Amino acid sequence: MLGWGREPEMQKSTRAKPRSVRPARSSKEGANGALHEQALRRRLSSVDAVRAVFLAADDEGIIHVYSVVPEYDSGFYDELLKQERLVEKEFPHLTFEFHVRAHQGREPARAVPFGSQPLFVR
Amino acid sequence: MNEAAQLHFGRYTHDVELARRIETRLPGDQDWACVAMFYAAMHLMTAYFITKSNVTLDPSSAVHPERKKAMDRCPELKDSRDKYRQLKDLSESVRYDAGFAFGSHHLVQAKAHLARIAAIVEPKLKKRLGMV
Repeated sequence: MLGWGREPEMQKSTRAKPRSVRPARSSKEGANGALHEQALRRRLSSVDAVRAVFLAADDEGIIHVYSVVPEYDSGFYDELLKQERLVEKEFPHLTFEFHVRAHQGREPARAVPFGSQPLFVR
Repeated sequence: MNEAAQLHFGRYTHDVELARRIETRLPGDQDWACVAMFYAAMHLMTAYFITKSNVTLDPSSAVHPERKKAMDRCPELKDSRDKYRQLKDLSESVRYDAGFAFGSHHLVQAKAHLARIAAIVEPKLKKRLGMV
């Protein structure tokens, strides 16, 4: 069935230890982490609704980016997708899959896959 | 090529009906109607991509970034991209976030997203398949 079996959460369940969020073809390292991580932090934190961002890498080398918001709402998507596209353009050699999760009053880490690495929480 | 597109279009209509059945017959499991709606949208998009000569996508691919890249190559689908993404996000929360509290407003959102996607993509696909 299309779409089944490739989600990072499913793969994680069979792993004893979370994978590094650094892909095989990472961007250069800067003082505050890999350049793509700095760009993600800078761009996604500019979206008011985004309270936290977490990263996880899967076996295909895809960087999964989880933006955590209070609740699903169409209002922030325009700006968020614009910022995500800018990151993709800046790092065309990397493959990102962007996600939005709703914390609904929980700690942001509760809304993302276990083992995801926090990029920022506010 | 059109046969494959027809198969995905058939899966789309099946999943739309499945979502309706879940909503009406399983009121306590309406969150999964959103999941069926997402897969309906995914098959509709896939059917359309198959008919496009400027898009190369393995229709059996489960890798979402490839589908997103295909979507980016179709400017005529621009207005459906964010709706597709919102439906995908909601569907993922239902499937993977065990603490996610699904509410009736989420079902309203999902139906609106799928309706918008269908309004944009379905007429274009039917035209390319000679169904109109």
